[in-house]
Amino acid sequence: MTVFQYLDPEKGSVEIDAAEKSVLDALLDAGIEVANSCRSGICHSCLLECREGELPAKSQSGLKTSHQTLNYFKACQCEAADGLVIAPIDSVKLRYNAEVVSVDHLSGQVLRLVLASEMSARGGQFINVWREPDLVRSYSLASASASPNLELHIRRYPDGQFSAWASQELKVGDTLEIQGPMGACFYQGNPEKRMLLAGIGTGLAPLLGIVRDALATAHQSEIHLYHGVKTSEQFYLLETLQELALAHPQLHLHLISQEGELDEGFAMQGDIYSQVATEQPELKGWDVYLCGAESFVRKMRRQCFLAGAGMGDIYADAFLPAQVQSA
Amino acid sequence: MSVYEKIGGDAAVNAAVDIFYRKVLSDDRIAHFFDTVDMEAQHAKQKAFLTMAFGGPNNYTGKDMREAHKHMNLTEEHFTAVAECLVGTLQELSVPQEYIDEIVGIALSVKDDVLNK
Repeated sequence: MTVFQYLDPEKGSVEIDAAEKSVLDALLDAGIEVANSCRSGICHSCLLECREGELPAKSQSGLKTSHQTLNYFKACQCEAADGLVIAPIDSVKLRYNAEVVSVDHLSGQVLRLVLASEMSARGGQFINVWREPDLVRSYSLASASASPNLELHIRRYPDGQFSAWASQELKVGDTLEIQGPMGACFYQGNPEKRMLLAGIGTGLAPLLGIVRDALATAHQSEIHLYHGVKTSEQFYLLETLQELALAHPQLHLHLISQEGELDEGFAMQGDIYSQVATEQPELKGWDVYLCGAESFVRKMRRQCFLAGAGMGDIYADAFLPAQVQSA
Repeated sequence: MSVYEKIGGDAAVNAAVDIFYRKVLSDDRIAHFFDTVDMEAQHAKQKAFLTMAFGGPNNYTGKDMREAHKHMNLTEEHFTAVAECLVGTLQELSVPQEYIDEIVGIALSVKDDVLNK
């Protein structure tokens, strides 16, 4: 008899009997819903995450490097084995306590929150942060993997249940509960490949985390970072970005504002889509990272793919609006 | 030996899928069907379709094909457009004509299901 464990987001840990079956079939036979389509290892719609145990090589063949690193595997190609502990991707992650190290305003709209915790995460991944048991938000990490602290950029909304509270109430030394890390949009470790990173608003946070990791691992090829905002006062962390670019000539900054007065010539007026299209018309062989609102990620993904970037070389993190809870 | 094995298996599909999907998205006759789809999920489906058309491992059934396409009101012109994208992709990858013919033959076998005839 072969038994493995499935961490069900609702029911908790479930033991699955799986004699001579694939993990996918065993789960389906046990009445657990798992998305699947081709059942031949091609479509990757049945990906799950392995938390413990050894995966057969076949169950990970053809997956993106980042997905392999995160122990994702194809449930249909994985023969069930004793000792496996598996879960849906990005679910049931460990929770940690985090201490507020600093809170400051980076612009009229963006609050920076720096947390100290035991969690180890890569720049560009995201975490959940709780204000209270039923009020949680997800934020991306602008800090490098090696950084002892986690850096978040929080877009402030005047009535934001989390953001307004964080900006008015949070103090250094406060403790918050966090969970993660999640997401597969992080530096891929290909120092010879050129990188395009494009984001709008606080989409800069994960991109900065990725850039920091790339520079920390001595990425030598060109890195083009595009940050788009509506009006020029919404640019933030300009000094940090300029210092990074000065210290690392392979990093090229492209700051683009849709409207508003621009001074000092550091930024351009325009729209980020046409700016990227004009300046980077050929993206074959590049690694591409896209972060920001879902509509931005969708449109930019298509544009970059049509400009030659491989679908498997485009890493994206689409920000979703918070589910607003009634009082 | 299937065409799939003859042209290099999974590696051949990987080489073909991006080219094929770019052609589909750039073809005015069919591009609008893909305006609102999740590109990554669609890319995975394209890969499964190509694997099937190349005679590789798949669990496609006529019923799947019919279900997936039946609300799209597809016509002969749409099917032709996809077939042309497929042939164009294979030519770009210098796949020998006899294999292209065989692949087109497999693609044609699902035509009635796709067009819900």
